[in-house]
Amino acid sequence: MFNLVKNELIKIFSKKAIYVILIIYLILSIAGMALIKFIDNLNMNSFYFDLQLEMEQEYLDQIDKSTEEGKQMYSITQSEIECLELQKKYGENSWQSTIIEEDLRNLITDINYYKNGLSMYASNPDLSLEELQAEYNDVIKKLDTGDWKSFAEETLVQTKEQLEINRDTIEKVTDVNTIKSLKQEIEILKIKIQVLEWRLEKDICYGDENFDDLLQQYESYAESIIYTNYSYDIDENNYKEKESKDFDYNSKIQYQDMLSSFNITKYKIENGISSNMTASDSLKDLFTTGNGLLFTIIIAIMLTGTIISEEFNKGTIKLLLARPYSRRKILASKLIACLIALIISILVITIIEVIFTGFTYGFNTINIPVIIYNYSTNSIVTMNVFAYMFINLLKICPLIIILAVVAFMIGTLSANTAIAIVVSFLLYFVSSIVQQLVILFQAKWIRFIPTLNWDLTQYAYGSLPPIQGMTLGFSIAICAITIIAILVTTFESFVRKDIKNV
Amino acid sequence: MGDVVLECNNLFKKIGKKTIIKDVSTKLESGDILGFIGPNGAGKTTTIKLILGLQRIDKGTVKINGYDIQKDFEKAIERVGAIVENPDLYMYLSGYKNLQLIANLYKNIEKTRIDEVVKLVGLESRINDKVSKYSLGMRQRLGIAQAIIHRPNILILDEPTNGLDPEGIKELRELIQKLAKEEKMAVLISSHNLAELDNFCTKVCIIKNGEVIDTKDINELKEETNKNNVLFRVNDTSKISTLLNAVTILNNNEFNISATEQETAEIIKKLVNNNIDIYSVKEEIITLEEAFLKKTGGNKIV
Repeated sequence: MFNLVKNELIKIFSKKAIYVILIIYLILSIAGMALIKFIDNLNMNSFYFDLQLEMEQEYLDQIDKSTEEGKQMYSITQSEIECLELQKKYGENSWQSTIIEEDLRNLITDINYYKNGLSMYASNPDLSLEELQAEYNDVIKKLDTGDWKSFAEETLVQTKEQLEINRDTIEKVTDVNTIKSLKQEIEILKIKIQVLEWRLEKDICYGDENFDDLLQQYESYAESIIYTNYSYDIDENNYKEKESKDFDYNSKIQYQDMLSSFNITKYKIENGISSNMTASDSLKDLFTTGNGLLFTIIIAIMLTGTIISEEFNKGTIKLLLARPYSRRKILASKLIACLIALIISILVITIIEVIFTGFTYGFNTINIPVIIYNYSTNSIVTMNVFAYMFINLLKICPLIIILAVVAFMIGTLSANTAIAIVVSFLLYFVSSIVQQLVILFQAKWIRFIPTLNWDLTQYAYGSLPPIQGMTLGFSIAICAITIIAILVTTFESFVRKDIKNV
Repeated sequence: MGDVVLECNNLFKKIGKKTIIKDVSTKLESGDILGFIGPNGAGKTTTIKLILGLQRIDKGTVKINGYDIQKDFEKAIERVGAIVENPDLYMYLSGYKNLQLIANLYKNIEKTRIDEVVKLVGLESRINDKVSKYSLGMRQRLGIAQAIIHRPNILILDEPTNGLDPEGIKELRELIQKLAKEEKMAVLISSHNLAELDNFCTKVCIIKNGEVIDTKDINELKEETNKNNVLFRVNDTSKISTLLNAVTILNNNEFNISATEQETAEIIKKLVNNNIDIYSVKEEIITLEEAFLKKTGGNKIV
């Protein structure tokens, strides 16, 4: 038996196919690295600004101002041009540029609406044009004279004032809905204050290339969560149990994704982990969503789909079967050899990826742990990237193994390499489309479809699977039954198969 | 003769609705070179596949070295070497690597044995080339090498002469004879062409439409063919039928008779004594092939 496996491995590694696939992977990795380096070195910004300005200007000239829609378009475009010009004035990467983008844009648009007689479109129609203009001049003055810290401090003071006002109001009103909306507003203001305090405390200027986007993401995730909490009367500890018509299973999944992103962002800000891409980030999903998975599937299907059918096609099967080994042993040894070759390929892919992500993002960034949100305990877990990859690989195993044994079965039953490979690939691609479709139905029987169960990463760290009612144990059982059924069919039919005359 | 090493008893095989092997029985004793002869589609390859366990037997038994192929496959096949249909080898490997793979599948095949068989089949100079670069003749020889590497006592060759030129056939014949002698193998060799085999087979089994028509010792068959057809041209054939038995009179001047050389001499004497003028005596030599044609009753054979 050992010798049979050894022979099969010699055959696999004497053929070109596996090397060709690995070389293609290598080439793609080199190309990917080169592309990332190239984009990094490219300074598109300045060129982009001028181009954008030019285009907007051209567009502005074409707008027909006679209709109301035309006027609206004109106001928006005009504001866009003003923003771009201001950003150009302060420099594209300056902190002022971020303020203009985030805060000033609305103000400028409102002013332009007034100027074009469309005050009803303004975001804050209570203010008059004079007041708006005064505010605008005020901001510009701050941008011209102050540094970003003074700006942030001032905003902080204003936000705190707003918070106090809201707190006072809440005492006075009695209407339940008003209280609820005030409470929601207070929570959002608290988040804003938190962000501003972090900004000042951790010295994160506006437009900071490492942390500014984290702060923005934090704010937007927090707002979405607060909004959802108040709309459906839930919180992060009880959302799994809540059942209501509006907050259905798909909303729960969206909500938990938001929680995960929010907590991970929060952890990153608190621990000073920048949003910059690291080798660890790039590596961690290699075998779940990355190229590594696709190539592992390609190699798995290629190995198992050809290992029997090729012997039939070339006639060498007769050479192999008229030997003192039972057919079961021969088939089992081929399967084991495929598995060993696949593991070797996975190692090669990992090594290639480690080298190239190391070169791209720096080898020291491989040590940065992967941050995981544990859905069951609502806490953050960190893990070494290789441990994380290994666990993910185990979780994706049922998918790879099912595809491999399907290719193996078809290759053995039909003796046709092309059919074995094509059908297995179609199964993989179609299954992901089918998954998208059936999730919409959420019918009870759907969960028995093996392809919906073969990716165990859907249960990652207590997360809710896409289909209600499925559990990890259930999925493992379905996958195991599928694999065993396919293998039994393959072995039994191979043992009975007549080697046809040519 | 020696011990019975291979015994097929009343084999039946159906493919679809068609019974393609009907009650085939044959025997191979050590030292035999059995020619398994039949036209294309007679069931030669299928019978060989049944013997090797490559196809399931519907009815009947195959015993190799005392073991039943259906019940004791691993033991039965242990000492059998075979080439079925074409010498299909792994094209992407070298000849040597191919042999190494086969050697791995048996216990106690030492490295020197590989070199030994390579030398035996005369492939020393090209053994490290990829098989895809081999000619058909070389592949055939490598096929034999893989079939004998584990020192089998039975060698089964299915149409080994297919696609070989006359020189190749001659070499192959010599090789098989050498193997039978030196390695003391019983050989079963199938062919649709008896002429290729008649010089070295010890036994011939004729099969047609899935049935064994006759199994004969080669000497018996040769004896039959010793009696050649002799064509006499004489002045008058009217009295011939009274003078000779089993004669075919063709016309006034010609008649046919089956006779050995000695008998021919006696016939001539008899005719001379009876005042019949003999113009010519022509001997038509019957080859194994023609005897075989008579047996299989057709000219469908290539």
